[in-house]
Amino acid sequence: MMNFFLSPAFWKTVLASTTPVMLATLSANMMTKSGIFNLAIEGTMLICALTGVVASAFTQNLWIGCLAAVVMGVFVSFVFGYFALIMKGAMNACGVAMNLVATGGTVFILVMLTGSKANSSALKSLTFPVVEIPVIKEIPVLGTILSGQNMVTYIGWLIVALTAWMLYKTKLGINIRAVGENPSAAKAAGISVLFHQFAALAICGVACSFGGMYLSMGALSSFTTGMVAGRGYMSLAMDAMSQGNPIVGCLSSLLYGFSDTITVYLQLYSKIDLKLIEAFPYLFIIAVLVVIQGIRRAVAHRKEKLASLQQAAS
Amino acid sequence: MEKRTKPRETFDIMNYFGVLRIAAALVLSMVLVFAIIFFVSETPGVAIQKLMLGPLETKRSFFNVIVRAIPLVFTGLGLTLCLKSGIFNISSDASFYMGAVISTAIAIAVPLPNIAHQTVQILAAAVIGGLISMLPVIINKYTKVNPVVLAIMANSIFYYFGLSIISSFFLEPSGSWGSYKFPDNARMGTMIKGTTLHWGFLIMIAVTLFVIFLMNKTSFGYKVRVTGSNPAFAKASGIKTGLVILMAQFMGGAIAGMGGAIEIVGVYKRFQWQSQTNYVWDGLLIYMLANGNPVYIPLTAFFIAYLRIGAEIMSRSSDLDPEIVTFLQGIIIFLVASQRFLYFIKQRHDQKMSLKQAEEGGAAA
Repeated sequence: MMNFFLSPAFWKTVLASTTPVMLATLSANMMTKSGIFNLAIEGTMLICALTGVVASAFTQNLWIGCLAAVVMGVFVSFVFGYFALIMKGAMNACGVAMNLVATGGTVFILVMLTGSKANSSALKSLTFPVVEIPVIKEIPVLGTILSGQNMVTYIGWLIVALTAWMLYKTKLGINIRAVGENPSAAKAAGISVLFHQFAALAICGVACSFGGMYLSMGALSSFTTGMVAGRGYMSLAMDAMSQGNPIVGCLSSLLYGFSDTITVYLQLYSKIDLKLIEAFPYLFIIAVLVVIQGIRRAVAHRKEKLASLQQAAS
Repeated sequence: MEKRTKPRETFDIMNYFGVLRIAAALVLSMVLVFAIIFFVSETPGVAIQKLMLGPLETKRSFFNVIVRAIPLVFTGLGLTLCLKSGIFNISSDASFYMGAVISTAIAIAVPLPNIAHQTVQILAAAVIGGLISMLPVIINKYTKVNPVVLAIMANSIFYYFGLSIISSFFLEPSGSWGSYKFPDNARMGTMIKGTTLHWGFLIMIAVTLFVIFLMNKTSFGYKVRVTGSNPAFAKASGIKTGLVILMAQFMGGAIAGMGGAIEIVGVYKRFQWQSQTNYVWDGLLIYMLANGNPVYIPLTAFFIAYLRIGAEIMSRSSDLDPEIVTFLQGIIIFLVASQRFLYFIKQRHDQKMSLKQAEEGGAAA
């Protein structure tokens, strides 16, 4: 039964189901780095998933659909930012509000457009193609895992790399981190807090939109209600694990992909109740978090001890 | 002396700024939703009329509103305790769902005489609900993940957990998905004949009074409020903040769990919840509209229940989906949560008042 760990197909599925959470985690990382707590990632992904489907169905052009979803993602993030930052709303509440708007609004629009409350299969929407990478494809095991993923997966990796570079190597990124670290100090240094927070929100919106589009235009070919299914919330837990670092965030979202894929395999091969297995990713992530934070605390404690010892010696 | 008391005696509308602000947020978001209905519906007049007045058309649907408000009041009160302690713990859904599951289990598996049966169900649900509600805070201590995220994860985990308990032990094999029927002496029983109103309504009133008393008249309520509004001050004045927070979560979760137990044996004949209940978002809106004061919770819960029933009636007689109410809720939360919404009015008023005071002070001197 445990043979599936060794098959490349398993690891390929892991990478595939990591994609939306990886993009959501990137959004969450940007938010942490700029000092915002954005619960609305879930709702933003949902809205973008629908926007991409609807726009691509009406224009019959994948890239216009993609562009519409990205613009929508940025717009939704800005609406959240407007209420949370300019109107000084409580961030928790604004996030919840945006998620409610997304849940209600997407169903409402779906019923308006298709008459169905469940999915958008009545619309002829387009999907992102699967991409075979020429050279990598030839490598025995790695090729099967890495090549032949959906295009959004590769776009996602690109976005993560670009964001990590932007965050640590450019002036904009450094300013964003400064704003997140200490807004009043940044302000005193002449950095516009709002501008940089909105820049972070824009990146968050772009990443969320690709995460949403992966669900409705990549993994599936239509929009189903509530299809984000808590991935946006999970990403916030991943973010706590990675402490805002996009590369670490990308790696830790692999944990979600891993547990999610195991869930599917367990449902196929084990006799445990199906619904109980669906709780597995959540429990797994919490367990990993407890362990990681425990190690972190122990390391910090040890460092402190060493430092004090050194001080005593000198 | 007279001069000083004078400004207090005169009626000043700005004393009610908080209420006015919430009312304005309600009106504004309703107008927005009406505009959307006008834009998309073919029969906007009928739709709006059904949404606003539908629940008043028959006695039955009016009592349906009250029945719908009962779980919302429990969730709202539970959230009041949790949120007032300064932790944004929205795991009420987990407590609520598990409360219903535990109640179902006891109703089916444990034979007891009439009133004792319900009492045991509700108490067990309260204990389980309370314990669940403490989890996000405890795990937060070990993982440093925001309790909101943990609470939302708990909602999903306990939904799956509860569902699998029902489907492995209490599932009726034939027919549509659902547990065995509850025996009659485990149910709440109708309070007024010809309606769906059940005896849980009285328990709801009792719990509401209890929470009002607890929050406003006891030292525990005061400790919770101080811990929530200023943790450093609370700690400095010798309040054991950790214990107070945990106790508040326990009681909040217990109330939500009771709500679940009462809802399942009051309204349903058997356990049929195959999807997440999502009462917590309604509860959150109720809490925010009540401005965190438990006195207003029944009122605002009634309002939300009214909207929900109205939307269901509307969707039956027009081409609109009841989910528009969820959208409306989001807009209302946005507006109520924004501190700066209508802030300019208060600001201008405050400036005027201070100018006036300065002038009066100058004249007196």
